[in-house]
Amino acid sequence: MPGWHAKTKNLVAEGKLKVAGIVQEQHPNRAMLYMQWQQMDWPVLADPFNELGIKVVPITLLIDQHGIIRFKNPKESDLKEFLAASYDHDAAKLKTPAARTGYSDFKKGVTFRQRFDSPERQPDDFENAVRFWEKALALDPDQYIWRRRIQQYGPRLDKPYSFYDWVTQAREEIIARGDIPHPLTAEPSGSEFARPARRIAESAALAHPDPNGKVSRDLLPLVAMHPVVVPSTKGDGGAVRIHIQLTPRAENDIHWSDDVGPVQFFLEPDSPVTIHDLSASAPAATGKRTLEFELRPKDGASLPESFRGAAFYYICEGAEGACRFLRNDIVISLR
Amino acid sequence: MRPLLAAFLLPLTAMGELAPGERFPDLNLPSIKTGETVAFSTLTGEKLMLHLFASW
Repeated sequence: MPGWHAKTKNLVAEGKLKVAGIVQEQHPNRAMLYMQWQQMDWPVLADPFNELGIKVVPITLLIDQHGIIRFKNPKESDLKEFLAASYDHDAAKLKTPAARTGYSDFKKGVTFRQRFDSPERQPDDFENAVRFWEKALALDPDQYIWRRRIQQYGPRLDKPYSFYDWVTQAREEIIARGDIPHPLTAEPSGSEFARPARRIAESAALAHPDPNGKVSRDLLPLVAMHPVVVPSTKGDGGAVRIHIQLTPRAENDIHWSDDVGPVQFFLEPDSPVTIHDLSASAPAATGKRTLEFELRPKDGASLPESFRGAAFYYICEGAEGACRFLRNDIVISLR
Repeated sequence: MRPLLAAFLLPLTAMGELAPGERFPDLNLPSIKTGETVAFSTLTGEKLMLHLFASW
Protein backbone atom coordinates (compact mmCIF):
# COMPACT_ATOMS: atom_id res chain seq x y z
CA MET A 1 0.00 0.00 0.00
CA PRO A 2 2.75 2.56 0.75
CA GLY A 3 4.16 1.53 -2.65
CA TRP A 4 0.91 2.44 -4.40
CA HIS A 5 0.77 5.67 -2.39
CA ALA A 6 4.14 6.77 -3.79
CA LYS A 7 3.14 5.80 -7.33
CA THR A 8 -0.23 7.59 -7.25
CA LYS A 9 0.62 10.76 -5.31
CA ASN A 10 1.10 12.84 -8.47
CA LEU A 11 -2.03 11.44 -10.11
CA VAL A 12 -4.04 12.45 -7.04
CA ALA A 13 -2.47 15.94 -7.02
CA GLU A 14 -3.36 16.32 -10.72
CA GLY A 15 -6.97 15.30 -10.04
CA LYS A 16 -6.77 12.20 -12.24
CA LEU A 17 -7.34 9.68 -9.46
CA LYS A 18 -8.85 9.55 -6.00
CA VAL A 19 -7.49 7.14 -3.35
CA ALA A 20 -9.38 5.78 -0.33
CA GLY A 21 -9.26 2.82 2.01
CA ILE A 22 -11.41 0.54 4.13
CA VAL A 23 -9.66 -0.98 7.11
CA GLN A 24 -10.50 -4.45 8.38
CA GLU A 25 -9.32 -4.54 11.97
CA GLN A 26 -10.73 -4.53 15.47
CA HIS A 27 -9.19 -1.17 16.44
CA PRO A 28 -9.51 1.26 13.49
CA ASN A 29 -7.63 4.04 15.29
CA ARG A 30 -4.49 1.91 15.02
CA ALA A 31 -4.90 2.29 11.26
CA MET A 32 -5.17 6.04 11.86
CA LEU A 33 -1.77 5.96 13.61
CA TYR A 34 -0.39 3.90 10.71
CA MET A 35 -1.71 6.42 8.17
CA GLN A 36 -0.17 9.30 10.17
CA TRP A 37 3.18 7.46 10.33
CA GLN A 38 3.20 6.71 6.61
CA GLN A 39 2.00 10.27 5.85
CA MET A 40 -0.94 8.99 3.85
CA ASP A 41 -3.86 11.38 4.15
CA TRP A 42 -6.55 9.89 1.95
CA PRO A 43 -9.94 9.02 3.46
CA VAL A 44 -10.23 5.67 5.26
CA LEU A 45 -13.41 4.03 6.51
CA ALA A 46 -13.54 1.39 9.25
CA ASP A 47 -15.14 -2.03 8.82
CA PRO A 48 -14.37 -3.87 12.07
CA PHE A 49 -17.46 -6.07 11.61
CA ASN A 50 -16.27 -7.25 8.19
CA GLU A 51 -19.53 -6.08 6.58
CA LEU A 52 -17.78 -6.26 3.22
CA GLY A 53 -17.43 -10.01 3.64
CA ILE A 54 -13.92 -10.20 2.22
CA LYS A 55 -11.81 -13.03 3.59
CA VAL A 56 -8.30 -11.66 3.13
CA VAL A 57 -6.43 -8.37 2.97
CA PRO A 58 -4.79 -6.54 1.33
CA ILE A 59 -6.94 -6.07 -1.77
CA THR A 60 -6.64 -3.10 -4.10
CA LEU A 61 -9.50 -2.21 -6.43
CA LEU A 62 -9.82 0.25 -9.29
CA ILE A 63 -13.39 1.57 -9.30
CA ASP A 64 -14.76 3.76 -12.06
CA GLN A 65 -16.73 6.98 -11.61
CA HIS A 66 -20.00 5.00 -11.56
CA GLY A 67 -18.90 2.79 -8.64
CA ILE A 68 -18.12 -0.27 -10.76
CA ILE A 69 -15.04 -2.39 -10.03
CA ARG A 70 -12.79 -2.51 -13.11
CA PHE A 71 -9.60 -4.11 -11.77
CA LYS A 72 -8.79 -6.18 -8.69
CA ASN A 73 -5.18 -6.17 -7.40
CA PRO A 74 -4.03 -4.25 -10.47
CA LYS A 75 -0.58 -4.04 -12.00
CA GLU A 76 0.82 -0.64 -13.01
CA SER A 77 -0.20 -1.32 -16.62
CA ASP A 78 -3.79 -1.91 -15.42
CA LEU A 79 -3.78 1.48 -13.74
CA LYS A 80 -2.69 3.13 -16.99
CA GLU A 81 -5.47 1.35 -18.90
CA PHE A 82 -7.99 2.30 -16.20
CA LEU A 83 -7.05 5.97 -16.34
CA ALA A 84 -7.20 6.05 -20.14
CA ALA A 85 -10.55 4.25 -20.44
CA SER A 86 -13.98 5.86 -20.54
CA TYR A 87 -16.55 3.65 -18.86
CA ASP A 88 -20.25 3.34 -19.60
CA HIS A 89 -22.59 3.41 -16.66
CA ASP A 90 -24.74 0.38 -17.44
CA ALA A 91 -22.02 -2.27 -17.34
CA ALA A 92 -22.53 -3.26 -13.70
CA LYS A 93 -23.80 -6.59 -12.50
CA LEU A 94 -25.84 -6.19 -9.35
CA LYS A 95 -25.09 -9.14 -7.13
CA THR A 96 -27.51 -10.45 -4.59
CA PRO A 97 -25.75 -10.59 -1.24
CA ALA A 98 -25.11 -14.18 -0.12
CA ALA A 99 -25.85 -15.56 3.35
CA ARG A 100 -22.75 -15.90 5.51
CA THR A 101 -22.08 -18.86 7.73
CA GLY A 102 -20.77 -17.89 11.12
CA TYR A 103 -21.10 -14.16 10.57
CA SER A 104 -23.47 -13.50 13.47
CA ASP A 105 -20.95 -15.14 15.82
CA PHE A 106 -18.08 -13.09 14.40
CA LYS A 107 -20.06 -9.86 14.90
CA LYS A 108 -20.86 -10.79 18.48
CA GLY A 109 -17.16 -11.40 19.11
CA VAL A 110 -16.25 -7.99 17.69
CA THR A 111 -18.87 -6.30 19.84
CA PHE A 112 -17.80 -8.04 23.05
CA ARG A 113 -14.18 -7.03 22.41
CA GLN A 114 -15.28 -3.45 21.64
CA ARG A 115 -17.03 -3.28 24.98
CA PHE A 116 -13.99 -4.83 26.67
CA ASP A 117 -11.93 -1.91 25.32
CA SER A 118 -14.47 0.65 26.54
CA PRO A 119 -15.20 2.09 30.00
CA GLU A 120 -18.29 -0.19 30.07
CA ARG A 121 -16.12 -3.33 30.19
CA GLN A 122 -17.70 -6.39 31.78
CA PRO A 123 -15.46 -9.12 33.27
CA ASP A 124 -16.43 -11.78 30.70
CA ASP A 125 -16.32 -9.58 27.58
CA PHE A 126 -12.92 -10.69 26.28
CA GLU A 127 -13.62 -14.35 26.95
CA ASN A 128 -16.98 -14.05 25.15
CA ALA A 129 -15.24 -12.38 22.20
CA VAL A 130 -12.74 -15.21 21.83
CA ARG A 131 -15.41 -17.91 22.20
CA PHE A 132 -17.64 -16.31 19.51
CA TRP A 133 -14.69 -15.82 17.16
CA GLU A 134 -13.72 -19.47 17.62
CA LYS A 135 -17.29 -20.52 16.85
CA ALA A 136 -17.38 -18.35 13.72
CA LEU A 137 -14.04 -19.63 12.45
CA ALA A 138 -15.08 -23.26 12.96
CA LEU A 139 -17.99 -22.57 10.58
CA ASP A 140 -15.83 -20.81 7.98
CA PRO A 141 -12.16 -21.82 8.37
CA ASP A 142 -11.17 -20.00 5.16
CA GLN A 143 -12.13 -16.62 6.65
CA TYR A 144 -8.70 -15.14 7.32
CA ILE A 145 -9.99 -11.78 8.54
CA TRP A 146 -11.78 -13.68 11.31
CA ARG A 147 -8.80 -15.98 11.95
CA ARG A 148 -6.51 -12.98 12.43
CA ARG A 149 -8.83 -11.62 15.14
CA ILE A 150 -8.01 -14.68 17.30
CA GLN A 151 -4.36 -14.90 16.29
CA GLN A 152 -3.92 -11.27 17.34
CA TYR A 153 -4.31 -12.40 20.96
CA GLY A 154 -3.08 -15.97 20.61
CA PRO A 155 0.19 -17.89 20.98
CA ARG A 156 3.30 -17.15 18.97
CA LEU A 157 3.23 -20.53 17.22
CA ASP A 158 -0.01 -19.47 15.55
CA LYS A 159 1.01 -16.01 14.41
CA PRO A 160 1.75 -15.27 10.76
CA TYR A 161 3.60 -12.11 11.84
CA SER A 162 3.74 -9.60 14.64
CA PHE A 163 0.50 -7.63 14.46
CA TYR A 164 1.61 -4.32 15.96
CA ASP A 165 5.39 -4.29 16.29
CA TRP A 166 5.42 -1.16 14.09
CA VAL A 167 3.61 0.97 16.71
CA THR A 168 6.70 1.89 18.77
CA GLN A 169 8.72 2.90 15.71
CA ALA A 170 5.77 4.81 14.29
CA ARG A 171 5.36 6.87 17.46
CA GLU A 172 9.09 7.63 17.65
CA GLU A 173 9.22 8.81 14.05
CA ILE A 174 6.04 10.89 14.35
CA ILE A 175 7.42 12.61 17.49
CA ALA A 176 10.77 13.17 15.72
CA ARG A 177 8.84 15.00 12.97
CA GLY A 178 7.42 17.29 15.66
CA ASP A 179 3.90 15.81 15.56
CA ILE A 180 1.79 14.19 18.27
CA PRO A 181 1.03 10.51 17.56
CA HIS A 182 -2.65 9.72 17.10
CA PRO A 183 -3.93 8.32 20.43
CA LEU A 184 -5.09 4.69 20.67
CA THR A 185 -8.18 3.67 22.61
CA ALA A 186 -6.56 0.32 23.44
CA GLU A 187 -2.81 -0.09 23.67
CA PRO A 188 -1.57 -3.26 21.96
CA SER A 189 -0.78 -5.98 24.50
CA GLY A 190 2.14 -8.43 24.61
CA SER A 191 0.53 -10.94 22.27
CA GLU A 192 -0.13 -8.20 19.72
CA PHE A 193 3.54 -7.20 19.69
CA ALA A 194 4.88 -10.78 19.83
CA ARG A 195 6.55 -12.22 16.75
CA PRO A 196 5.97 -15.76 15.53
CA ALA A 197 8.38 -18.18 17.19
CA ARG A 198 8.65 -21.91 17.59
CA ARG A 199 11.23 -21.63 20.35
CA ILE A 200 11.05 -18.89 22.96
CA ALA A 201 12.91 -18.66 26.21
CA GLU A 202 11.08 -19.63 29.34
CA SER A 203 10.36 -16.60 31.51
CA ALA A 204 13.11 -16.11 34.05
CA ALA A 205 12.73 -18.69 36.78
CA LEU A 206 12.50 -16.41 39.78
CA ALA A 207 12.41 -18.06 43.16
CA HIS A 208 8.82 -18.82 44.15
CA PRO A 209 7.90 -16.20 46.78
CA ASP A 210 5.82 -18.64 48.82
CA PRO A 211 6.96 -22.26 48.42
CA ASN A 212 5.48 -23.20 51.81
CA GLY A 213 2.15 -21.43 51.30
CA LYS A 214 2.58 -18.97 54.18
CA VAL A 215 1.65 -15.74 52.38
CA SER A 216 -1.89 -14.59 53.23
CA ARG A 217 -4.51 -15.56 50.67
CA ASP A 218 -6.72 -12.88 49.12
CA LEU A 219 -9.87 -14.77 50.04
CA LEU A 220 -12.46 -11.97 49.69
CA PRO A 221 -10.97 -11.34 47.12
CA LEU A 222 -9.81 -7.74 47.14
CA VAL A 223 -8.60 -8.36 43.61
CA ALA A 224 -10.75 -10.52 41.32
CA MET A 225 -8.99 -12.49 38.59
CA HIS A 226 -10.62 -13.25 35.23
CA PRO A 227 -8.55 -15.48 32.96
CA VAL A 228 -9.03 -15.69 29.18
CA VAL A 229 -7.43 -18.56 27.31
CA VAL A 230 -6.68 -17.89 23.64
CA PRO A 231 -5.83 -21.12 21.82
CA SER A 232 -4.01 -21.66 18.56
CA THR A 233 -6.40 -21.50 15.58
CA LYS A 234 -4.57 -24.55 14.23
CA GLY A 235 -6.09 -26.60 17.04
CA ASP A 236 -2.74 -28.28 17.61
CA GLY A 237 -2.75 -27.89 21.39
CA GLY A 238 0.88 -26.82 21.32
CA ALA A 239 0.50 -23.57 23.21
CA VAL A 240 -2.08 -21.11 24.46
CA ARG A 241 -1.92 -17.47 25.41
CA ILE A 242 -3.32 -16.59 28.83
CA HIS A 243 -4.64 -13.11 29.59
CA ILE A 244 -5.65 -12.48 33.23
CA GLN A 245 -7.52 -9.33 34.20
CA LEU A 246 -7.01 -8.28 37.80
CA THR A 247 -9.85 -6.08 39.01
CA PRO A 248 -9.60 -4.40 42.44
CA ARG A 249 -12.80 -4.45 44.49
CA ALA A 250 -14.29 -0.96 44.13
CA GLU A 251 -15.89 -0.90 47.61
CA ASN A 252 -12.51 -1.28 49.31
CA ASP A 253 -10.79 1.70 47.64
CA ILE A 254 -7.83 -0.44 46.62
CA HIS A 255 -4.66 0.94 45.11
CA TRP A 256 -1.70 -1.01 43.88
CA SER A 257 1.72 -0.62 45.41
CA ASP A 258 4.79 -1.59 43.42
CA ASP A 259 7.14 -1.19 46.42
CA VAL A 260 8.01 -4.88 46.33
CA GLY A 261 7.78 -5.17 42.55
CA PRO A 262 4.92 -5.50 40.05
CA VAL A 263 2.21 -8.14 40.07
CA GLN A 264 3.79 -11.57 39.63
CA PHE A 265 2.48 -14.95 38.59
CA PHE A 266 3.93 -18.34 39.46
CA LEU A 267 2.96 -21.85 38.51
CA GLU A 268 2.65 -24.40 41.28
CA PRO A 269 5.87 -26.43 41.77
CA ASP A 270 6.32 -29.37 39.33
CA SER A 271 3.75 -27.95 36.93
CA PRO A 272 3.44 -29.83 33.60
CA VAL A 273 3.58 -26.50 31.75
CA THR A 274 6.07 -23.67 31.37
CA ILE A 275 5.50 -19.92 31.23
CA HIS A 276 6.93 -17.71 28.48
CA ASP A 277 6.62 -13.99 27.66
CA LEU A 278 5.24 -13.11 31.08
CA SER A 279 4.30 -9.45 31.23
CA ALA A 280 2.22 -7.37 33.61
CA SER A 281 0.61 -4.10 32.66
CA ALA A 282 0.99 -1.32 35.20
CA PRO A 283 -0.82 1.68 33.75
CA ALA A 284 -1.80 3.38 37.00
CA ALA A 285 -1.88 2.95 40.75
CA THR A 286 -5.61 2.25 40.68
CA GLY A 287 -7.85 0.34 38.31
CA LYS A 288 -7.47 -2.88 36.41
CA ARG A 289 -4.19 -4.56 35.60
CA THR A 290 -3.47 -7.47 33.33
CA LEU A 291 -1.08 -10.38 33.35
CA GLU A 292 -0.27 -12.03 30.07
CA PHE A 293 1.85 -15.02 29.18
CA GLU A 294 2.20 -17.95 26.85
CA LEU A 295 1.80 -21.44 28.23
CA ARG A 296 3.50 -24.44 26.67
CA PRO A 297 3.60 -28.09 27.76
CA LYS A 298 6.86 -29.53 29.06
CA ASP A 299 8.90 -31.90 26.89
CA GLY A 300 6.63 -32.02 23.84
CA ALA A 301 3.67 -33.37 25.83
CA SER A 302 0.11 -32.15 25.30
CA LEU A 303 -1.30 -29.33 27.32
CA PRO A 304 -3.13 -30.55 30.46
CA GLU A 305 -6.85 -29.96 30.98
CA SER A 306 -6.05 -27.29 33.56
CA PHE A 307 -3.18 -25.82 35.46
CA ARG A 308 -2.69 -24.18 38.82
CA GLY A 309 -0.87 -20.99 39.60
CA ALA A 310 -0.96 -17.97 41.86
CA ALA A 311 -0.70 -14.22 41.45
CA PHE A 312 1.18 -12.20 44.06
CA TYR A 313 0.58 -8.51 44.57
CA TYR A 314 1.05 -5.72 47.05
CA ILE A 315 -2.10 -3.65 47.56
CA CYS A 316 -3.32 -0.97 49.95
CA GLU A 317 -6.85 -0.19 51.17
CA GLY A 318 -7.85 3.50 51.35
CA ALA A 319 -5.56 6.51 51.46
CA GLU A 320 -4.25 5.71 54.95
CA GLY A 321 -5.14 2.03 54.98
CA ALA A 322 -2.93 -0.95 55.50
CA CYS A 323 -0.86 -2.36 52.65
CA ARG A 324 -0.57 -6.09 52.28
CA PHE A 325 1.33 -8.59 50.17
CA LEU A 326 -1.25 -11.15 49.10
CA ARG A 327 -1.45 -14.40 47.19
CA ASN A 328 -4.40 -15.26 44.94
CA ASP A 329 -4.57 -18.92 43.82
CA ILE A 330 -6.25 -19.83 40.56
CA VAL A 331 -7.01 -22.96 38.54
CA ILE A 332 -7.35 -22.21 34.82
CA SER A 333 -9.13 -24.67 32.56
CA LEU A 334 -7.55 -25.16 29.14
CA ARG A 335 -10.48 -27.12 27.66
CA MET B 1 -25.84 -3.97 27.01
CA ARG B 2 -26.39 -1.06 24.58
CA PRO B 3 -23.16 -1.49 22.56
CA LEU B 4 -23.96 -5.16 22.00
CA LEU B 5 -27.14 -4.28 20.12
CA ALA B 6 -25.12 -3.08 17.14
CA ALA B 7 -23.90 -6.60 16.46
CA PHE B 8 -27.43 -7.86 16.01
CA LEU B 9 -28.57 -5.10 13.67
CA LEU B 10 -26.07 -5.65 10.85
CA PRO B 11 -27.07 -7.75 7.83
CA LEU B 12 -26.00 -11.40 7.78
CA THR B 13 -24.98 -11.32 4.15
CA ALA B 14 -21.75 -10.89 2.21
CA MET B 15 -21.42 -8.39 -0.58
CA GLY B 16 -19.87 -10.81 -3.05
CA GLU B 17 -16.35 -11.47 -4.19
CA LEU B 18 -15.73 -7.89 -5.32
CA ALA B 19 -14.92 -9.03 -8.83
CA PRO B 20 -14.40 -6.74 -11.83
CA GLY B 21 -17.75 -5.86 -13.37
CA GLU B 22 -19.56 -5.75 -10.01
CA ARG B 23 -20.78 -2.58 -8.44
CA PHE B 24 -18.96 -1.88 -5.16
CA PRO B 25 -21.52 -2.02 -2.32
CA ASP B 26 -22.67 1.34 -1.00
CA LEU B 27 -21.94 0.64 2.65
CA ASN B 28 -22.25 3.25 5.36
CA LEU B 29 -19.09 3.05 7.47
CA PRO B 30 -17.40 5.35 10.00
CA SER B 31 -14.41 7.45 9.02
CA ILE B 32 -11.33 6.49 11.06
CA LYS B 33 -10.46 10.19 11.29
CA THR B 34 -13.74 11.70 12.47
CA GLY B 35 -15.87 8.70 13.44
CA GLU B 36 -18.70 10.13 11.32
CA THR B 37 -20.60 7.66 9.18
CA VAL B 38 -19.80 8.05 5.50
CA ALA B 39 -21.71 6.53 2.58
CA PHE B 40 -19.23 4.84 0.28
CA SER B 41 -20.99 6.43 -2.69
CA THR B 42 -19.68 9.83 -1.60
CA LEU B 43 -16.14 8.59 -2.37
CA THR B 44 -17.02 7.70 -5.95
CA GLY B 45 -17.91 10.03 -8.83
CA GLU B 46 -14.26 10.05 -9.89
CA LYS B 47 -11.91 7.22 -10.76
CA LEU B 48 -10.92 5.63 -7.47
CA MET B 49 -8.15 3.37 -6.19
CA LEU B 50 -9.53 1.62 -3.11
CA HIS B 51 -7.28 -0.21 -0.65
CA LEU B 52 -8.89 -2.84 1.60
CA PHE B 53 -6.30 -3.37 4.30
CA ALA B 54 -5.30 -3.72 7.93
CA SER B 55 -2.38 -1.98 9.61
CA TRP B 56 -1.04 -5.39 10.63
